[in-house]
Amino acid sequence: MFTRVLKRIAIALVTILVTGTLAFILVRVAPGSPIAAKQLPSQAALNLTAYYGLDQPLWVQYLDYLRRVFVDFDFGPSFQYHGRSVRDVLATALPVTLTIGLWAALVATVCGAAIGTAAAIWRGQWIDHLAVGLTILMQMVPTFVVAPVLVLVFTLTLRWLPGGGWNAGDPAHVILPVFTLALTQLPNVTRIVRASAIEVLGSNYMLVARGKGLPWPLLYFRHALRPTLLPLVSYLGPMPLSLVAGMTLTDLFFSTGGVGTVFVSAALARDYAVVVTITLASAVLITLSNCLIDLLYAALDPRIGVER
Amino acid sequence: MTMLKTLSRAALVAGLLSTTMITASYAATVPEGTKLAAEQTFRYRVLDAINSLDPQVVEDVDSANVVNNLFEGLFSEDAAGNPVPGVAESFSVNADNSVYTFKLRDAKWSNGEPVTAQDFVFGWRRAVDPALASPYAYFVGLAGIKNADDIVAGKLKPEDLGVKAIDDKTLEVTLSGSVPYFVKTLAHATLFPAPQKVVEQFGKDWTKVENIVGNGAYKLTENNPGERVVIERNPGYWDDAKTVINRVEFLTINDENQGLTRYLAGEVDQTDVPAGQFPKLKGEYPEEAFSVPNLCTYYFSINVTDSAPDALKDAKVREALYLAVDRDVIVNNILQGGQQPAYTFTPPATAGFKAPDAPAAAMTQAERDEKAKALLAEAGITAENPLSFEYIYNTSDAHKKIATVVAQMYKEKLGVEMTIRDMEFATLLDTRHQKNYAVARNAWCGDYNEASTFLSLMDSKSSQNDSGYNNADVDKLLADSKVSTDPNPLYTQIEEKILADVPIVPIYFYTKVFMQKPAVKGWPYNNVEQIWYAKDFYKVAE
Repeated sequence: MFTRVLKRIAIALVTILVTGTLAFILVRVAPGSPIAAKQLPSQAALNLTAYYGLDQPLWVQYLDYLRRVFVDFDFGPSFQYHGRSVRDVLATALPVTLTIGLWAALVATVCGAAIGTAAAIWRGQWIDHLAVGLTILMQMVPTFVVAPVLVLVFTLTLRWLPGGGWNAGDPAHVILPVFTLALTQLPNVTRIVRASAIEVLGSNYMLVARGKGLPWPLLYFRHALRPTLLPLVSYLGPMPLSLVAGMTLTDLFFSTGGVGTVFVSAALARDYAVVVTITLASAVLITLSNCLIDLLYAALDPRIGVER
Repeated sequence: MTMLKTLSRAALVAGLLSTTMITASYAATVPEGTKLAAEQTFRYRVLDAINSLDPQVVEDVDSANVVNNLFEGLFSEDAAGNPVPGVAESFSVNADNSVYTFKLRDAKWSNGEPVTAQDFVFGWRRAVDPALASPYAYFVGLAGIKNADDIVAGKLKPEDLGVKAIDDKTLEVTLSGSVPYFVKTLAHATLFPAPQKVVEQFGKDWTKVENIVGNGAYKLTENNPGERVVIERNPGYWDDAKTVINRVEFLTINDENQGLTRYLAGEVDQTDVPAGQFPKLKGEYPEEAFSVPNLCTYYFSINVTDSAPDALKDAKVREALYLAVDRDVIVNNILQGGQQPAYTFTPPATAGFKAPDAPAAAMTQAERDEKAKALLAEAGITAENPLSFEYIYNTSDAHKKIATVVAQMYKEKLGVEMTIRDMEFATLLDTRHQKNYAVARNAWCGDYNEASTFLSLMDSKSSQNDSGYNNADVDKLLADSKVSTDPNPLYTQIEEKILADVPIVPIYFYTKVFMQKPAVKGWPYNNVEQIWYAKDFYKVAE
């Protein structure tokens, strides 16, 4: 088991290193450069190129980057924000993204579980039809449609909530982005919980429990809830990753200033250091969670080997 | 627009070896009996993140707007773009207009220390120091300050810059010649002072909220660059008594439509109008929709270097392409924001500039088309020997519409096949710079209100000369204009050369098209650079 774990971690490290290297090379071979993007006279451009070390051969830049990241835990200066480091830039953006992401995950899970359970309990009745219909609708409508509709209703018509911004995490500003993002996950959660609840509610032990005449709160909350939610747990693992993907659009639309906005503007401005760092961070997140899931599976079921 | 040059030109002409007293300050002028709004907060929408708050580093317009409110240079600009006194109280100039001596007023940094001549010396040396690598380092040379270009190039030391503190209140600036527009450049952030002690103490972190010290009418209180920057009134500012707006919020909203939505919801006081929506908004909100001239030109660059398609090396072909564009269709049917058709490069709103009479401007489109056909025939472009080339532009709906409609015009009128290809902005810049194209979308906005900010792009040595245009006469005229007491006739001549050689096809002059809440008063609608200072505004009760 111990060698398995070591092996898996070694593979994860290699994956991260390869991803980082690829990101480093790809962003540099893309046409355009952070300096050209500034449209400067030659001498100013030359000075800026030297300032960022972009006049060095690629391999020197690469080794320098590796040393900085792995030895100093420094991701270099941002090219777009002259005088700010990548760490600085991410330090303001990351809390925004984490807050919205965590709340969205929570809202999607709680609401999805509630709707899915209700649909299962009243299976075949109007609640179920409504839940299934809404789920399909939400799955079909993309974020760039949902967000403006929410703003139209809650900002322009009802005037209840601001249409964007972060304002230091003021709750009123957080609600719309959180719900927009949560709606991307809600359908999946609802479907998983509904299917699972239908199975649990039809199982023999539930029939027995019902036959014993247990009151319904006890029946559902004590006996049905936990087994119903089990399949959801395996979905929650990869949820942060799909949230990260959905977050870019939400972030841009609501101008919340999170990592999504930073990533897009960095890519457009060829802010190499920021692009590589965010790519690397995503790679670490994905690789680690995959690694963890693999190891958990292996621990739970000895038939699954790490080698496979 | 003749008003625009009054102060600097008058000062130069009348100020030989004399001291020019500059008395009029500019601040919020609230008419008597005005009922002011209880909350004096101005909320301004910006397109992108505020990249930097360092005056010597700042490069984009939105960030410069923040910096203009946090710091103050020797001069600021009034509502019409004329220089008005900032930290300078008066100045004198020597006989050949090459040495300026400024007397500074009693102004304070936000930490209470006095603003001294040494702070200007420090800031300006910093701007040209290759160690800082400021993107705007070249601006100091453009302003004509002695040795600036050589310092930027690393040939001289920052200490060699032509600026010197005679005493705490006297600053002496030596120019490389008599630069006619020098005073106008002094309202630019690059030439603001910098607080030496603070910059040296905190290094790169000196512009962080907890460290920054400024000398402007406002102080930084919040900086979340991708989302908002908040500044609040600086009670230590020398003209604070006349300031009315207490707080300014710069809110980043990346999407123009979303900006408009939030404007309509009352979350911002001002936002740009998305392309094509101006007529509708003007109809619905006549008091709130504005279209004002802006110092920018939209044009096509034609590659005239060896890497260009052979046909485009013929000026007749280029002129035909110049003539066949129906600019009225573009400004009236596509953009619809009050933009003006452009037949020359420098915007007519530029101070002191007299555009030459472009013959094409006086013709009807039918006449232009006829002439274009004749020119192509002369150049040997026929049905048997057709012309086809590619036009590249950066991805955007408005650019795409213009490209499509021009391609259609060329095809229908001239039988010329222009294929269009969009690309990311960064890629377009690079492709243009490498001269790896035939015809490309281009645009330029003035860094200061004078024609050289445009025409210097036509210098064969300019790195922004995307056409690769190389005309020794133009280079000479540009060099002469830098030391001329009245360069405007030279500028007109340069425009005439451009008209003859057609390295570019000017399409239209920009307008700034925006929505602004009626409660906001004091906006500089007539400042073609749209440089504004919140200290000049006030909000009335609605």
